[in-house]
Amino acid sequence: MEEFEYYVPTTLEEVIRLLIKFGRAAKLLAGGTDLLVFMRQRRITPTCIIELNKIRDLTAIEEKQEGIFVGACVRLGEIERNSLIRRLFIHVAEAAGNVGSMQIRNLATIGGNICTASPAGDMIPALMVSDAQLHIAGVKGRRIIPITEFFKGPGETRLEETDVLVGIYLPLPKPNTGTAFIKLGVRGAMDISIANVAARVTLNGTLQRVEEVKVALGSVAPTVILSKSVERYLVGASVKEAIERLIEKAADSVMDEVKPITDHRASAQYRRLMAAVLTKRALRIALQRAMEKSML
Amino acid sequence: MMKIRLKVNGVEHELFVKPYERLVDVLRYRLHLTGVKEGCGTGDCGVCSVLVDGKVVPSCLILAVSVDGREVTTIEGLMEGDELHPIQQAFIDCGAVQCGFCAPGMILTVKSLLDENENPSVDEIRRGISGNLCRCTGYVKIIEAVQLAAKKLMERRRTF
Repeated sequence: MEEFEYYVPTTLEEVIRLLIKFGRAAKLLAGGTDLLVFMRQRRITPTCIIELNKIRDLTAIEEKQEGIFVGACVRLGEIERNSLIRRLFIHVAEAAGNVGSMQIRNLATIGGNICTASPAGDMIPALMVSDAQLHIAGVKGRRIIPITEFFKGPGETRLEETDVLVGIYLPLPKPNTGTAFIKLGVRGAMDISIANVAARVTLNGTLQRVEEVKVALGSVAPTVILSKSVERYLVGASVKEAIERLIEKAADSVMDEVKPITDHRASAQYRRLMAAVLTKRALRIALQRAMEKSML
Repeated sequence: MMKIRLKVNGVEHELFVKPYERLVDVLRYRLHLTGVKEGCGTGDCGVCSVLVDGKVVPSCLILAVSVDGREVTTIEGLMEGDELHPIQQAFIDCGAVQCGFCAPGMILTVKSLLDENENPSVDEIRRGISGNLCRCTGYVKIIEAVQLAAKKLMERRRTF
């Protein structure tokens, strides 16, 4: 690695001051599982590294009145095991548990997974179906961007040079909601996704009808995408019809929404077909969980 | 240069390091703990795994300055006096070591796994060691060794 200056601030104000001073020459270090690899390969050569792990606001999972707040530097291993997240957002825990290996998950952070902005980032679809709000600190103070509006392209986000992602707010799910996350990789461990899908299904009070549905897909377009078409098939549908035929139709409809590429992991055509298969499976699991949960 | 303090295998060290030195560099080249191996250098192979505050991490992806004030365990620190740790003994008893290059990282990963889950299923073991590549054994004997180690550790806990 090339030489750089290293700072470990303990407040966000200090981080922003450093970012103002160093500008593009600075990079923020959270888990380092992407950053240090990029630096060793000399794909990036920052002259200043600002480590974020000593800032208390960034490292906690907090229960709020109508949701939970996950600090940007919370490790994926902690998210995978956290009982609150497992109870309310099982698909987020499933996504975290599918990243890398135990070693990687002990380092890698949720904020890093978002800000690296890989089209294949596993946390992103999971957070998208739960309407995650990203809390960002910058020169002009704090602001909130919905995760659906955060990505501009592969590796590109709406973060400006002096911005820091502070954390992710997840509003509590409505009653009778079930969720799921599924990832397809070559090996089943240490994989960058060929495709990944998160789904959320909310049923009405009598569990007869689908009230809301969301599906987000990763690794099948330049950024993670939220499906617009699945709702058309499923919102308002009876559960019986959804199970018998509509989930299948809804899942097939995502094939027209995705814009996959061919690379060494998979062909575009395979990704397109798998997007539908994974959507179908994720919707079935989410629906099943919505029914089970309401029986507790 | 920056000054860091860290406890490695129970011994306190005060070192002056460059910001770009990684934990694996400091452990191998300054403290001469060559039981720590480096393979890919990108966090994919797991041979550089060490424990930081009891949790297994790839030492090639951590800056030494980031572990200031923390506790590191390498394979050299796993022995209990003159006795091998039960996990090390189980690897020998099951023939789970061939060339040996993956063994230090593998054993530390297993330590971390068994600390969290004292009696893992075969699936849980496979998942636990999925970040540690071994190109010799085919993993069969490694999994047997983990099961044996888990059994020995549970027996020991019951006796004390």
